[in-house]
Amino acid sequence: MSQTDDEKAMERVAADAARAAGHSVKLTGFARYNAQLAASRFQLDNGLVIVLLPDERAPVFAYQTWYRVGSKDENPDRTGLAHLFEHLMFKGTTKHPVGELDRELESRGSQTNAATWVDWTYYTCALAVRPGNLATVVDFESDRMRGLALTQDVFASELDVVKNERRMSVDDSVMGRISETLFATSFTRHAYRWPTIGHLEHLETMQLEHARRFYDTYYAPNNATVVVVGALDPVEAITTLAKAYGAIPASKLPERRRSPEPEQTEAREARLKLPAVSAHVAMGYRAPGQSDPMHAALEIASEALLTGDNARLYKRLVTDEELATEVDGFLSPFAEPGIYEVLLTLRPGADAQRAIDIVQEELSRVGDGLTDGEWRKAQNGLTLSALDSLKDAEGLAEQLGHHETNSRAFEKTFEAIRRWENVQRGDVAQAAKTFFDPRRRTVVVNQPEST
Amino acid sequence: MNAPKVSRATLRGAVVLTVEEHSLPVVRFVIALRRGSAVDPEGQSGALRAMMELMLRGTDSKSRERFNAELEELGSSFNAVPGSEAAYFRGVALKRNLGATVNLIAEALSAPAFDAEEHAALIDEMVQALASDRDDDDTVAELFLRRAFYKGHPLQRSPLGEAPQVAKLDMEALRRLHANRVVASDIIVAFAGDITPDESLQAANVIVEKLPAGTAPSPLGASLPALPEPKGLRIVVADKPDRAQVQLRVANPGLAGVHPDTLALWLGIVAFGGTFTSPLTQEVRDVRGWSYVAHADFSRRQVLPSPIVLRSVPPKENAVDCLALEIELMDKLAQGQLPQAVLERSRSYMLGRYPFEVATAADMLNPVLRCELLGEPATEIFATPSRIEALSDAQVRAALIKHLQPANLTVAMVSTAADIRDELARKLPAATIEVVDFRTELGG
Repeated sequence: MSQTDDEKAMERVAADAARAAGHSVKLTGFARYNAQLAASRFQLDNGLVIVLLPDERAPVFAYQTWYRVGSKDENPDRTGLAHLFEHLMFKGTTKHPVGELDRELESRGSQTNAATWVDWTYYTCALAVRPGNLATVVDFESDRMRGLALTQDVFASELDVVKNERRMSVDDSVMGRISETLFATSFTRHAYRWPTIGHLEHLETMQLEHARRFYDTYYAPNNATVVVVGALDPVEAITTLAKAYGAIPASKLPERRRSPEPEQTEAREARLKLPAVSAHVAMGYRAPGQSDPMHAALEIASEALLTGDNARLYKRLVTDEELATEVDGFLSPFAEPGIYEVLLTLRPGADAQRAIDIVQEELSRVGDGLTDGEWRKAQNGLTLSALDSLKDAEGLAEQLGHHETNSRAFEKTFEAIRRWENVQRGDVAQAAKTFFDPRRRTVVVNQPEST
Repeated sequence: MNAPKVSRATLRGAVVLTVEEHSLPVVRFVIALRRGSAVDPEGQSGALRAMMELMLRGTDSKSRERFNAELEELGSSFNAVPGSEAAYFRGVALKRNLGATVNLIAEALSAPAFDAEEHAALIDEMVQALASDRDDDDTVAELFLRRAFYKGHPLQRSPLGEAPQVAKLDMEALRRLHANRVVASDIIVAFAGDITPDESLQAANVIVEKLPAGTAPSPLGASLPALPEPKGLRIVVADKPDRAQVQLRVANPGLAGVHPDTLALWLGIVAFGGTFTSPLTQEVRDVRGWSYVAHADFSRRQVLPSPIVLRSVPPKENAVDCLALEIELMDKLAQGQLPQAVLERSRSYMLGRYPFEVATAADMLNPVLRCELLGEPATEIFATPSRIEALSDAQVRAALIKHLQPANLTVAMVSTAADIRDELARKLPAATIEVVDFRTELGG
C-alpha cells in the first residue's frame, strides 16, 4: 500500500470517528516505518493531538498523555511545582475519589506511572486489550485533565513524599548533587538552570493554591498529546477518545517567554566537598536543542567518545592513564539548547585537573574527524538503539510522545533510525569544534576530604 | 498477532533456546553459565566476575583493542553480568551483524587471551570500582543486607566481589575457573528476536563447537550448605556521615522457585507491597509521606531460596518509626491479615499484567531462561495465568502464615548511626544492633 493509500485510510478513520463521536477529528500527519508500524496524528477542535499507532505484535496497548509543561515553565522562586503536580494528578477528581484510579487500573493489570522533566510531563499506563480497558483508561485520563479535586491533606502528604524523593535522589546522592550544581552553574538565565525536582526551600513553602493555579493554566487539551500504541481498532480508539475529550474546552495558554541563555564565553568551575569515597568530576558543554541538525552530529561524536571499551574517553582515562574507574556521558534531549555532560569517577588520589585536561583534549580531537571504524560504530550503534526503542508498545509510545511534545514531530521516532544518513562527517567535526570549545565548558569537581 | 515462539534444543550438552519474533531486525542473546558466584572457591570472592571480564579483554588472535573495535563497529554489545545463582554474558546485535558478532563471542568464550597485563589492570580496576560503589547508598544497603542475611553462607559474597579477596585473585585461579566453568554441558545459549530456530542452532554451534564438552554439573543447591536459620531481629547499621535519610531494607527468608508454596507466597507479597495500592506502600508512602519508595519484592523463579525484601527510604527523623511500622505490618501479614479486596486486586493485577510478560521476544528472554535454570520447560511461562487463577485465597494466606517470620527479620540500614542508634535501641529493645563503617574492609 502506498503512503497515499495509507493516508486515505486514516482520513476515513478520522471521518468515521468524527461521525460516531459527534466531534470534529482531523488527520494532521502520517508516517510509516515498515509494513507493520505506521503512526497517524489526529487533532480535535479543542486542540488535543492524538497520535495513534496500531501495533498488532502483541494483545496489549500503551496509553500516554503528554503535557507540554515541565520545570522550565515554573516560576524560578517556586521550583519543583511541575513535578509535584505530576504526583498530585493521582489524587482524585470530583468524579473519581482519591485512590480509585490506581485501584481500578491496577485491577486491570496496569502499572500507572508518570514522569516530569524540563520540557514535559507525561502519564502512562499499559493494559491488555480486553473489553472495557481502553474505555476505562480514557475515562480516567480525560476526567483528570480538568476535573482534579485537591484537598489540603492530600497536598501536604504528597509534598512530604516529594521532599523525600528529593532527599533520596539529590541530597543523599553524590551524583545528584553534582548534576544539580552542573546545571545551576552552566545556565545563568535559562530555566534549565534549576532542578526538575525543585529546591527544598521552595518545596517547604509550596502551597495548595500554587498547585491549583498551575493546573488551571497548563492542563488543557490544547496543551496535550495523547499517544495510543497497541492492538486496537483505529476507528474504535479514535472514536472513544473523541467522545471523551471532544467537549473539554481549550484553555488560553500563557505566552511562554523564556530568558534565552547568553552565549557562554568563559569556562566555569564549581567545587564541592561532599562525603564520598571517590572524587567525581562532571563537565558540561553547552549543546544544541534536539531539533537542531547539529544535535545528531553530536550524538555521533558521543558514540566515538563514550560507547564501549574502545571509546576515546574510556580508553584514555580508564585503560591507558588509569585516572578514572568510570566514564559516562549524556547529550540532553531537550527542546531548547541543553548540555553535553561527561561524568567521571576518579581513582583515589587521581589528579582531577589532569582528567579534565584529557577530556578536553579528546573532545577537541573529534574536531579532526572520526576514523572509518568510529563512523561505522556510530551508524550501527545508533541504528540499533533507535530500533530497540521500538520493541514494545510502551517504548514506542514514549518516543512518539517525546518527539511530538518537544518538536511537534512524532515522525522523528522513525527518522531517528536513519538520522546518521543526514549527517556528513564534516558536520561532526564542525559540531565538535563549535560545541566542545573549552570556553563553553562548565566543570564541577567533588573532591571529598577523605581522598 | 505474531506472538513470539519459543523452542528448545540441545547441542553437545548445551541447551539452545530461541524466542522467535521478526518485527524488528534485532537479536538479543544470552550465554548463561548455569552456576554463579555462589560456587566460587572459598576466599576467592569475585573470581567469576574477574574471569568473565577478562574473557572480554582479548583473545588468542586479537588484542583487547582489536576485539573491541570489531565488536563496536558492528554496533553490537556483549557484557558480563555475574550473578550468585548463574552468570550471564548478555548482548544485542543488528540482525545483519549477528554472524560476525557470534564469531567474536565464540572466540572470547573458547580462546580468551588471559593476558598478564590485562589481568593486573582488571584486578586493580575492580578493587577501585568496589570502593567507588560505596558512594551509592542503595548499593551499600543491598551489600550489607546480603552479608547480614546470608551470614556465614557462600551467598553472603556479592557476585561483584570483595576488595581484599579480589586483590589476591591470580591468573591461574581464573584460568582454572574458565577451564571448569565455560564448558558446553554447563551453558545455555539463548537468542531472542529476528531469528529462526535453525539460525539459532547454527549460531549456537559456532559458540559451542570449540568449547570442551565438560560433564554435567551437580545441581546448584547440592553444592552449597543449607541456608542459615535467622534468629531474632537483627539490625546492621552501615554508618555513613551526613545522611538526610536512611536506606532501609527488611528481609524475611523466602522460597526457591520449585517450592510448592512459592506462587502463593509470591502473590501474597505482591498484594502486600507490590503495587501503588498495596498496604505497605499505602501506609508508608501515601498515609504518612515517609518515603518515596516503599515496596516489597520477592523473586519467584530463583533456583535457591531468595528473601522477601521490603525497601524504603525514610528521612532520619522517621526511620525508626518506619522500621517499626514495617515490622508491625509484616506481623499482621504473618497472621494472614490481608484484606480480601487487596488480595483479589493483586490476583487481577497479575492476570492483567501477564500479557506483557510474553508480549515481545525481549520480554520473554529472561523468564524462558529462568525456567531452564529451574529445570522447568519454557512453556511453563504460558501456564502462569491458569496457575494464578487456580490458587485459592486460603492457599495464599496459608503460605504467608507458614513462611513469614516477623520475629526473625534481618534489617540493613544505611544511615548516620548517631542519628538513629539510641532511638533504635529504645523502640526496638529486642533487636540485636550492629554498627559498621560503610567502608568496611576497604580500609577507609
